Amino acid sequence: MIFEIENLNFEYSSHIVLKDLNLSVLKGEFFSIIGPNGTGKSTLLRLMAGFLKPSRGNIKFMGYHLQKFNPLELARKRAFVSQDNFINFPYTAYEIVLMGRFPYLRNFQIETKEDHDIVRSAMEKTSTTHIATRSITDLSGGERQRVMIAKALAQNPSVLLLDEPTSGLDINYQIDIMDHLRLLNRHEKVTIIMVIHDLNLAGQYSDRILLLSKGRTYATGSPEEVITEQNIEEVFSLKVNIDKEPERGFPRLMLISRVL
Amino acid sequence: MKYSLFLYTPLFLLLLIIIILISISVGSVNISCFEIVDMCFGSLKEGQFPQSHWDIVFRIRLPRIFLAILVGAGLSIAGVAFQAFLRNPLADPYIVGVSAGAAVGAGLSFLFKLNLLFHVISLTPVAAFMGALFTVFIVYRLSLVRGKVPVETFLLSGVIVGSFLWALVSFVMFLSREDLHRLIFWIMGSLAEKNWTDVFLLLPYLLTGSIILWMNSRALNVMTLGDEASHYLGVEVERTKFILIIASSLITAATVSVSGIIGFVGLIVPHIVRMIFGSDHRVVLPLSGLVGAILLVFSDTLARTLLVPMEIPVGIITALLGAPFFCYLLRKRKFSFF
Repeated sequence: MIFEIENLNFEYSSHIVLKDLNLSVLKGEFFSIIGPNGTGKSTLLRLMAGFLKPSRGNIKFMGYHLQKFNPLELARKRAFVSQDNFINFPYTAYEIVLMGRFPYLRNFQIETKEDHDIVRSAMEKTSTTHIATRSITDLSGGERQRVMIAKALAQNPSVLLLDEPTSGLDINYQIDIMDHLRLLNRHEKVTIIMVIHDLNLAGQYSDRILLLSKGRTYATGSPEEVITEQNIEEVFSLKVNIDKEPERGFPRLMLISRVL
Repeated sequence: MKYSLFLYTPLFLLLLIIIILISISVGSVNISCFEIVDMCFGSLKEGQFPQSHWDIVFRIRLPRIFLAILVGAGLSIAGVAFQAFLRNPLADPYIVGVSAGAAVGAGLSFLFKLNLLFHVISLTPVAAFMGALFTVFIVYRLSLVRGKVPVETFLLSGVIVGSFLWALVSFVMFLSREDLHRLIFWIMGSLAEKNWTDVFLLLPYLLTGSIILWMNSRALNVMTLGDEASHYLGVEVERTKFILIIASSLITAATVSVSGIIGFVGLIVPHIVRMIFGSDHRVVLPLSGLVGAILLVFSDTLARTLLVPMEIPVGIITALLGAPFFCYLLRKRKFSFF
C-alpha cells in the first residue's frame, strides 16, 4: 500500500474543498483522478505530496504518517510534476534534470558519476537526451514537460504524482507522454498517480480511477466501472455517448453538443 | 559548469590585480607601478621613496580600492541572490527598500547632526545600517501570511515600503536645507574619504553573508523553479528563504551604510555572469563577486580621475559604463540564439 487516506478533510479559508475522503492506492498502480473543475483534484494531489496539510483526517504514505517525513526524505520517495512549469532562468535541460538529485546531495558535494548516470538514464527514458544542452526557456511545451518528468525521475521516486501532464499538448505529445509514463509504470514499477481531464486517456491507461464530485468521492474502480454514461452525466451535467473500444475494451467517450 | 569556476577564477583575479595596480598608480599624483610593487614587497627601504607616496598609497588609495572591491563584490552577490529567490530578473539589492531605509537613516543622522557627533565619529553609517535592516524587517513582516512569505507579496511590499520611505527622504531633505547637498551626495553613492576602519567594519558582514549564500547555492538553484517545486525537491522553503533574505539584506545594508547607494552594479553584474557562464549559482555567486569587484574598482578609478580635481559620483560611472555593455551583450546573445 502506497497511500492510505482516511477521512481526509481540507478547508481553505472556511471554504470546504475536500470532505470525508477515503482512498487507498496500491504499489505499482497507474491511478487517475478525474472530475469537473474545482472539485479538489489538484488539492488532493498536493495533499498527497505533502505540500498542503490536511484540516482533518489522515494520510499514510508507505505505512507512516505523511507528516513524519521531513522534506528531504519525502523528496527521495515521491516526485511531483506540476502543470505550470514556467522557468525564466536559462538553465540547460540537463541542469534542470540534475536538480532532481538535490535531495541526495549535501551542501558542497559535487555530483558524482552515479548522479550523472542517473540523470542520463532519466533523460533516455523520457527521450530528452537530444535536447540536453538546450536552454529550458527555448523548449516547446511537450519537450519541457518531458524534461520535468525526467527531473522527477532523477529523484528515484517510488511514486510519481502528476497534475494534468498532457494539458496544452498536441495529440502526438499527449500519447507520447502517456506512453512514457506507462512504460515507467510497467518496467520500473513506479506508482503513477495523476490528475487528468481527458477521460479517454484516463480510461485507456489507468488501472483504477477516482471520480471526484464537489470534494467527495463519487466513484472508484476500474475504468469500465467509473467511466459510464450515467456517472459522467451525473457529475459533469453533460450527456455523453460511451462505447467499448473494440480491440482492447476500454471505455471510449464521445462528447455531444447541447445545441446542435 | 564547475570547470568554469576553476578556469575563470584565476583569470579574473589576475585582471583584478592589474586593475588594482593601475588604480593605485593613477590620480592627482602618479606613482609608477614598479614603485608600488617595490613598496609592497619591501625591497625599497624607507627614505628611498617620498613619504608622501607611502601615505597616498597606503592611507588613501589602497583603503578606497579595498572598499570598492568589497562593495562591488557585495552588491553583485546580493543581487544574484535577490534575483534568484525572487525569481525576478529586474531585482537588485535595493529592490525591497533597503536603500530607501538606509537613506532615511542617513537623512535623520544629518538632520540631527549625528554625523558630527563628538566631532570624531560619524554615526551616519550606523543610522543607515539600522534603517536598512529595520526596513527589511518591516517588509518581511508585512508579507508574512499564514507562516509563508510568497515572493510576489514580498517584492510588492518591498516596493511599496520603499516608495513610502523615499517620500520620507524627500521630506527630510526638505527640512534639512543646509545639509541638502550632503544627503544628495550620500544618495548618489561615493567611496571618497574612506579609510581602513570602513573596510574592516564592512568585511565581517560581507564574509558572513556571502558564505551563507554560497552554502545555499544549490538550494538557490532549485528556488528559481518556484516555491512549490522547491518543496517537492526537498527544500525547506520558508526556512531557506528566511536565511537567504537575512544574508543578502545584511550584505546590502552594510555596503549601503558605508558607501551610499551605488546603483546598477547589483543589477547588471549577475546578468553579465549568467549570460556568459550559465545559471548554476555555485559558479554565478563567486564569479559575480569577482566581476563586481573589478567593475567597481575600475569605475571608481574613473570617478576620481576623469574630472580632476572634481569627483564624479561613482554610481553615475557604473550606469554609464554598465548599461551600454549590457545592451551589447543582450544584442549579441539574441543574434547567436535566434
